[in-house]
Amino acid sequence: MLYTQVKGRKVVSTGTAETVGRVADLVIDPRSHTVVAVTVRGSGHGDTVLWSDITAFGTDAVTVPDGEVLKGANDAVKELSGTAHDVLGKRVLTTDGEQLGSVSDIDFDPQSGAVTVLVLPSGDIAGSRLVGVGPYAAIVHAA
Amino acid sequence: MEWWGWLLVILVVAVLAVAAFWLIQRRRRAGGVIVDSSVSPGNPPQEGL
Amino acid sequence: MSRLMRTSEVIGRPVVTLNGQDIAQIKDVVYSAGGGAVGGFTLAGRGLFSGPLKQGLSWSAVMALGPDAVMIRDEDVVSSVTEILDASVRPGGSGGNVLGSEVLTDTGILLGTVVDVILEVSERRTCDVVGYEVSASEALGTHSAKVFLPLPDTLSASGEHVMVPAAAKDFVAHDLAGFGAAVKAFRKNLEGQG
Repeated sequence: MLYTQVKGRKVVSTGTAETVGRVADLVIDPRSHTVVAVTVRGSGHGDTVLWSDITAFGTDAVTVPDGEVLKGANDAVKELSGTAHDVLGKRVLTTDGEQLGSVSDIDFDPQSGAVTVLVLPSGDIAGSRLVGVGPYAAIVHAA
Repeated sequence: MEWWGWLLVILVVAVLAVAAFWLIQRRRRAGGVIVDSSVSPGNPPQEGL
Repeated sequence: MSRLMRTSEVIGRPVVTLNGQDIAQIKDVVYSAGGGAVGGFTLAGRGLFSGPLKQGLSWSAVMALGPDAVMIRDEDVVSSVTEILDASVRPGGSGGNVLGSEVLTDTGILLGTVVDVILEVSERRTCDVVGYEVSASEALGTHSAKVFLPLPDTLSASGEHVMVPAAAKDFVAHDLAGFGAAVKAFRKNLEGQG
């Protein structure tokens, strides 16, 4: 599933069948190459839902058991969120110090949350090559 | 002084400020290649000591 | 495969950690006059208003000197700049800067002035100064204004002059592509004499 397609997707509570917000951002842990949380906007509750609290990441809506799973970001999530850790649009550097371009999209597995591919204009990079993401660049292992 | 006189003064000050800033930046950031002459053929690094 | 690069390309290159942070940029390249080995770099801040930093980067702390960035593990690998710049190098910076120094042969002929220094980064992760890009004097007798001059394994240099063997001028290259071969041929020639 592509990052650019899930932005703005409805987050629906299966308990109340109500829309509790919309997907704002994915929080990615570069060390495990997985999506660890989703930030939500327009919610009356908190703005973060942990990946483990999501019932399903569907093609038309993201379902959660109820609005209560939306909480404030915990420390682990806070450390990985914010513009400094955004992967989308960031320049990509290899561990050899070569710049490959900037990330135009991210493909992830809606079941496990694993980041499978970083999409770049110059070509795709396996998500497993991701080493770290910071304010300057996303670092990937040299091929 | 006429209105364009003031405008001229402001313009000159702005240009000077930009030039000074640019010069300072260039001086601060300019890099070099520094040779560490404590190690030279006439003064080889002492080994095995 | 080893790569040749100009130090002017390395200067200003960002120093990036594996966490994707650009903690500094390269200011000076510091090498030893003995074998030409690059010992490390002095650093400048990345901000618009930031100047030289008190930290330096030793070559052993560099993971990769790439075409777009210098990679390091994390910000803890930087050392103090005085460790990089030996105390014998005169403080104030320009004392030992070879850019602009005159290139003299051991026979006392002025070949030109140094405009750039050529580094070789080898597969075995060593980084050496292998030559100078020289703004040529008439003594070199070349038609191009800038040429590449290979260096022997050992060399002497100061902020004032850099010394080269007289034979160096027979191994001048006009472009960086042909320079690697020129360095090898030149060093082989020197070995043959010795």
